[in-house]
Amino acid sequence: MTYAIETHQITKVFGDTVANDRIDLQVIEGHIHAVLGENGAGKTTLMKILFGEEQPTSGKIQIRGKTVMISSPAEALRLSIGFIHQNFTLVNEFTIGQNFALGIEPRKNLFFADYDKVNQKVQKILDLLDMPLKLDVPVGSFSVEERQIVEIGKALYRGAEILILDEPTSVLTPQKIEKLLDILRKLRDEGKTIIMITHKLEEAFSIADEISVLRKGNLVATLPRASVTKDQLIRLMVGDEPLSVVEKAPHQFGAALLEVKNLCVRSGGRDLVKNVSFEVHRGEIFGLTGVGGNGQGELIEALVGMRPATEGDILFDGTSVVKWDIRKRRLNGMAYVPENRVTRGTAVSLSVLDNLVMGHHYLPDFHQGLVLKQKKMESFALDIIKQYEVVASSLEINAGSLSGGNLQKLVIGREFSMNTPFLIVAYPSQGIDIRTTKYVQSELIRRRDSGCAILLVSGDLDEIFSLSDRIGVMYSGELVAITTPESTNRFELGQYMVGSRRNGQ
Amino acid sequence: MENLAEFLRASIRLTTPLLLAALGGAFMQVAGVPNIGMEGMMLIAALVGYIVSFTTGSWLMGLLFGVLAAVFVGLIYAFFVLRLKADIFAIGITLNIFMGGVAAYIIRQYYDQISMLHSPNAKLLPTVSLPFLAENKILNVLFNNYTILVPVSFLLVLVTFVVFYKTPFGFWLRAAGSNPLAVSASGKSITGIRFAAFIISAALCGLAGVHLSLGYLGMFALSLVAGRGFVALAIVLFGSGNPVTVLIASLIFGIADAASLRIPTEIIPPQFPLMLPYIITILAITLMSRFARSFTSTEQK
Repeated sequence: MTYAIETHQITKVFGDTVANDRIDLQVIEGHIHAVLGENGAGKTTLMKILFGEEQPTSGKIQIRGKTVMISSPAEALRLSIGFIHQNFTLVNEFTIGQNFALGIEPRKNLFFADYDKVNQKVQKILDLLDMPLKLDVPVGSFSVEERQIVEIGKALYRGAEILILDEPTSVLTPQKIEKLLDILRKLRDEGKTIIMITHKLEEAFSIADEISVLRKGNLVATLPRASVTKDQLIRLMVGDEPLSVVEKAPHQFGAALLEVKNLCVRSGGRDLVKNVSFEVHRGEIFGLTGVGGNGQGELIEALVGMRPATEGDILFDGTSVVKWDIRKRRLNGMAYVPENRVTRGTAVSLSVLDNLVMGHHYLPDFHQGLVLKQKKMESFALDIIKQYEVVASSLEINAGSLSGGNLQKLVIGREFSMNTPFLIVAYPSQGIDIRTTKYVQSELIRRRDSGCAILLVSGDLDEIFSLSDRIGVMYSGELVAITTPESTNRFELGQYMVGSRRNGQ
Repeated sequence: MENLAEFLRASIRLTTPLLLAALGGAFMQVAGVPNIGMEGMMLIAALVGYIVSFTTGSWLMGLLFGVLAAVFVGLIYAFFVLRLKADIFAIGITLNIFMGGVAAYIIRQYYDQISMLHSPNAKLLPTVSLPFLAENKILNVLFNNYTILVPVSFLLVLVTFVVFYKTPFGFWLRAAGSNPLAVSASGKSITGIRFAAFIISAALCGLAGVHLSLGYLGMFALSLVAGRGFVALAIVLFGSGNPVTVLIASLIFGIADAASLRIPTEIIPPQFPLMLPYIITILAITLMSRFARSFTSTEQK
């Protein structure tokens, strides 16, 4: 048994987070190897290292027993490693052949590209993939799944023997997923080695020969599919340490403030949120969890007004808000701490002051006619900085120069000081230190105790458990379970998260 | 009939500088880096070409150094945009203004002139006369005795077409503009490809500039480019970098230019026809706002 790829103690550190911690991965030649893990477990980083897009902080890599330095994607290609990105690397205006041969075009008469030669080889590959596609039309005219397979063909054309696929099914509909998996099996039978990154347990289970599980940057296990059960894998993915329930006052539910009724969000022919109904009461923290990309993001966007609801209704304090724009929803009592503080939560090229006042600036307190009240804005901003311990050398520096934790405190401070009866807080502790995390969590509980309704979205089960009064789990766009921390456990939540269990089963 | 032929001849003469610059613009355009600095490149090439021509007494040296001067501006442009990651629009506009200042400084400081430079020693670009065309009066007016860069500019349309659509380099250029990720995934350097586009683009703008001073006008004036760099940009956007559409758009602008010089002033005040090419340009540039957004979005990818 030979290994196509072996990594030895691969470690990758970004700033002060360890994305990969001493990983020893072994991939058997001619097998399909699934790399399973939640978002942020370090899967993509590890694969980028194998494709030369990232350099490991330490550790070494062996390809077919030979120690190699993979310094660039070009070097990876030379070692016959092909990477199928989530974002397509196809030029839509070019034909399949023009795409396959990009950068390595055979020539005729010294100057001209010879695509007749290319197309002969392309046809063979398409036959192998069982994809009868036209060779003389631009790839932009193909469907998403066809382009995905063209992307695989491109790697094969370039001589890839080891194929790395990053979440290849995330853009496909269920019927097309089956077709893709069939093609991958076929390629394995041709002797190719395939590594597939996924967070979908079912897929890993149906296709892989071996399954590796990553959790929080560590490779927790590599197991042959034949000798592992789904439940075992779930335990490996979510861990089995007991969950701690933070001491908090027994909850006093008020009336329902937010009522979501049969909400659907559809985009690009895919159902991203399917028929979701729940309410959040005053004085309650409703924790919404799930593996990333299962509709939580789209659900929040529909709630705050960034994305239209295709069907269903959102009642806020008894009034339907689906037709309201973002500002109207905010003015009427919704505040929102977005998942991505850099692209959504702040405007990093603007000052700390501007970022703190943003969204408050249209309130009557901060302007007189068309003119903003500078003094008032400054004292308001300084208050937030003090109260939320944002470390910034002045109000004038760019928000982008703050550290991640301080930027997060800035966003939280700004949103919390709207003093709204309802808060949506997405992934509040992502990428920030423990001290700040603790602070944010205690602040959330304080708000809840004072009667605020809070929708907390997080993939961190510990956080969900310790803060939530009720927990909802999303899988594949559906709210598959609503439960309480007292009546569930990590394993059961894991089952909901990977879709192997629903409420009442 | 002869009047019409004369008119078409004027149109073709006025098309050439636009066509040369726009072909240059197309090289950068398809590579995903719009050339905003064509005005400045043309101006500096026109000046350097003219000065070298009357100093050395050789039009060829003038042509060569004019083109080199434009390439030098292209190098600066590329350095700021590709290496220092500065905004391509901001640097392009700045270079245009800066080159205007450089040209004014040179003619004032070294030649004691305010806005123009004219020397009897300047050797202008030669004209191409074909005896067999001279036999027919109309054909002679239409096609004969053009300055050398006029036929060259039309030939370059063909060359550009072949480069873009038949050579590997053309595919890399277009891939760099359409999906930079495709280029980097294929192991090619996106910066290297774009750098080549900057240099070729600048060289073609250089030809356009030299044509204006040593071919079209026979002198240098600070106002000789007169917005043609931006007209050329409009032409490029019009044809989204396709050399054939660039040729057609250039001819339309060239005809508009020639027409503006010929509309009888008794009927319409002369200022109005002179505005014509610029009005068309404004309309075309309006399309750019849309394009500018798509440029930023590809960068973010």
